[in-house]
Amino acid sequence: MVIPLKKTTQEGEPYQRRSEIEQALSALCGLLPGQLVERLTCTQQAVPFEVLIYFLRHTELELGSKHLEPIFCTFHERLEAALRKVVSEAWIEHAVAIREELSERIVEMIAKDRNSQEDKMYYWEVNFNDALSKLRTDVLRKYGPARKTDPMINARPLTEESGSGEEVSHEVDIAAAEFINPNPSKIDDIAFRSRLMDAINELPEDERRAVGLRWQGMPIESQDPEVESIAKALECTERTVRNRLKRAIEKLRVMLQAEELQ
Amino acid sequence: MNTTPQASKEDVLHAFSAESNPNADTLASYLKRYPQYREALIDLSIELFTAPKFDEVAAEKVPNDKSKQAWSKFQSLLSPTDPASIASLSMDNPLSNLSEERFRELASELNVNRLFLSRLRDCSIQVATIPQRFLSAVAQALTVQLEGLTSALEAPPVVASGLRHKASGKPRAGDKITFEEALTSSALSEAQQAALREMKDE
Repeated sequence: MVIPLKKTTQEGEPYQRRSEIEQALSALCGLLPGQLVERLTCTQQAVPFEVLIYFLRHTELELGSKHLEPIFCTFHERLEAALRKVVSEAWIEHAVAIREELSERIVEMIAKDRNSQEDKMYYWEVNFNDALSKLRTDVLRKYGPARKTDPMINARPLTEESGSGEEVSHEVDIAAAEFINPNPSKIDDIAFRSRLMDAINELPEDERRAVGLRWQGMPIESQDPEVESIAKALECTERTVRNRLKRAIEKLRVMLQAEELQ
Repeated sequence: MNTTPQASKEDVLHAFSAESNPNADTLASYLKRYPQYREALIDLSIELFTAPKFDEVAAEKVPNDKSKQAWSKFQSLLSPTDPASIASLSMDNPLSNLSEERFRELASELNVNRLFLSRLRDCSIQVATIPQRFLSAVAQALTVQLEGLTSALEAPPVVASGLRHKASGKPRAGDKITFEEALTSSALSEAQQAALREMKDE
């Protein structure tokens, strides 16, 4: 049986993993240790990180060093490969040290988790990407590029937004669409995608929300009261949304171009 | 009166992040159901959307010393009772320190005779051929980790002095016998042999 997450909701229900993770774990839990290692270390059909975390952090599985070591090494190698893409020397100073810091922290967290028998890392089994991404953000904040060189420091204050009365045409929509769907090979490049996503997260809150929702495919506005739109979600007018998108896209262009020139 | 407890913000956000596809449609349905957490849900959706997809990186399989080093560090951080800790590796053979009385008791608990148990103790049986169920029973009876017991029994066979002096060659690790051979040559009763055979792995 797959070990349920010990952490529970307010109603006492155990937190759930994503269904595909539960399915993958169910398929694996009947295997003998040797078969399990073979499956988890297979590079052709790599298992999700959440699955590796499950086998690494639960002592109840009673995997001894003989079986846990290859699983751990597979996890560590994949983690290093992923970090090399998203914390790249090309755009962050001290990238090597930052990657080491991240990797060491994760190893320590798993060890602590095994020793404590608590459920502190439960979220890593639910959404590894997000958990690691948050840790990466924390570490980058501490050791990453100095905030004073951040181009966003001179961002226009929010109060200017409605005062200017500047008309924003539907061209913004087109520009947004172009920006949001650039050269597919570029957006598929994990390092570029990561820089772009970081740039979005650096935007002022209102602009980040507008771009973030637009990128997820939410329409700017809709006459249909049943359809959720950015204007409704952010409780502002359609024009305000377009204003925010315009400003955000301009800033993102500047930020990414500046990085490419470096 | 509606007594259903209201979902907490943490639970709602967790449920959203555990969605297989937290896209704009999923977000829209959550915003409708939990308008009180509107801002937190929007921010979380963007966080999840902009999080790097670490699984997209192709798995690389190269000999990696750093991973081996990380493993050693990891092992050293584990508590000694952890089956993967360094301490579990250096376990002495737990069968060789037993008093004569306990050894006899253990043989009876496991439904084997003393000859069979001493062959196990002396690492004369190939561990790979011993059923996991039997090994687990031994580990449980001795209150040790299965992994530690297995690695202890994988040691070269102990050759009792004077026992094999007539052999033509020097005893080697290859002299270990299989579990089946141990069953038939240890003067076990038919019933004991049958019970042990039933434990065999698939």
